[in-house]
Amino acid sequence: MVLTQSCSDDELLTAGGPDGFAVFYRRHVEAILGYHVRWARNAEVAADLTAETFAAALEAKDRFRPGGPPARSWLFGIAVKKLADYRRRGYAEDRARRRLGMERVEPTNEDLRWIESLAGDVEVAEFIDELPADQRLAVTARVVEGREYEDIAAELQISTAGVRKRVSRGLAVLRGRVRESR
Amino acid sequence: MTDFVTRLEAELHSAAVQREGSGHVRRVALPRIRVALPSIPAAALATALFALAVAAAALILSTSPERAADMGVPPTLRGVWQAPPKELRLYPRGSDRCLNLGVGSSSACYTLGASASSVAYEWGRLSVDGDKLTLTGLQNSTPGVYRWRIEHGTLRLTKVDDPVSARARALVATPLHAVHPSQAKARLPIGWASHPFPSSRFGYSLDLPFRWKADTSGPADRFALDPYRGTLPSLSVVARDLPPGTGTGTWQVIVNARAGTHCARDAWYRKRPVDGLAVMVSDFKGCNGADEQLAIFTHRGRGYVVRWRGKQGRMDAEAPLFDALLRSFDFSR
Repeated sequence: MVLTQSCSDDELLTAGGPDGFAVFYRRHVEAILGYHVRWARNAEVAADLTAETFAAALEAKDRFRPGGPPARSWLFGIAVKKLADYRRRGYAEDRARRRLGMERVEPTNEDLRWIESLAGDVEVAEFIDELPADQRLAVTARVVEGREYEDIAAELQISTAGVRKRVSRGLAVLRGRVRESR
Repeated sequence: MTDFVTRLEAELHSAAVQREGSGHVRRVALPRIRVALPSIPAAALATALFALAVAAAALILSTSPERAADMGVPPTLRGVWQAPPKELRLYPRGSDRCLNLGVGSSSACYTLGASASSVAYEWGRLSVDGDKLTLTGLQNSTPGVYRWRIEHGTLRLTKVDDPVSARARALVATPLHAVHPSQAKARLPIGWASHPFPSSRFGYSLDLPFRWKADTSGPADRFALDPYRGTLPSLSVVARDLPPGTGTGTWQVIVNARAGTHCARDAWYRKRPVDGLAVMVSDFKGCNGADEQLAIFTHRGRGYVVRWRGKQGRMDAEAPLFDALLRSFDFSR
């Protein structure tokens, strides 16, 4: 398989081999780092969670089936689970990396500053936590994870218009909260 | 991309290659043996048994014949073997020839071809396990298993199992005689570059060697066995739209001026055809310890730069490879 920029995520995961996975990683690493640092509020933890997320994805990629939920959603599903584990245990686990024999990649100070810059407005992240569940899911998927409306609609099993409405209402609430807090 | 992102990519890639190579995960952590303090005699017994097992394993390994996966090709078996009109070449793991043939650096490789011209018509992976030799062609992916022995300087192969009858006929009919490598210089195999790659953004296509991959995510199209990790040799192609009337001479001046004078450039020149155009190809010692070959030309209002980067000291061997890739260029597809 010749790897090009136009290869879909599905192709990269199923037929791309190690190089395909590398391209898939490069496509999504920033989004996953941003997601983890927004919610973990710690750049070093975010780096570990990102490494663990991709290691788990590498382990599970043989089970990924094209044609189902988009690969980006599948990856974010792993990231959400890793973040939930972190919140429950209080530390970022490294089981997938150990199983793969991977070394821990220590972020430099420059890396940490860059990862922190991906967090954006942490205050807004706190407000998102306080949104009603349906709006929180829609806003997180659309604004934080940058996913397509169609993709979110498929996952939540509602119409695209429904997703747009939830995102719009959620953002309106957030704007109001931010205005009040300043 | 930061240093963290790059280093994590390298770790993941290495893990992915390992998984791919083994079919599943390697380097699984061994479970810890825990012995409670009160059972010290049991611990002593376990330790003694473990030491005995290690010693036995070491003894067995030291008396075993060479294993294919670890040892590649035994030195006595490496080299060029001929039984005219056939020729068999056996290269150790990591040799430049294996890399150029697309076998990669982790396997030994072989070529089977004509003794008169030294042109290969089949090549692929090679593994040796004791007296068993397995040849797996890249073109047909069908392994052929033979027993080998060397007698009075000749290599005798006996077929164990090989569904490719032409290969079996070539190898087992007569003993193969060792040939000094300098007497039979390897030529570029037929069909070495045969996988078409079209570039819509730069309006060309070319034929890539087997297993070479393309990375088109940057400003130039890059090709190599692993273009994402910068393996050598590699080829890059870039094109720019030129103002009307810009000729090849002007384009060459532009490219050379942009390239700067960071590296000494005592270049040698040769003329080669590129889709009907006579193009001047230069070769010189480039930056970062790589030797480079460069073709700068214009076609239908576009200026092209085609660059080959190879390991230092490999220019003579790799010039025919670059020429073959240039020959495969097509601007009509």
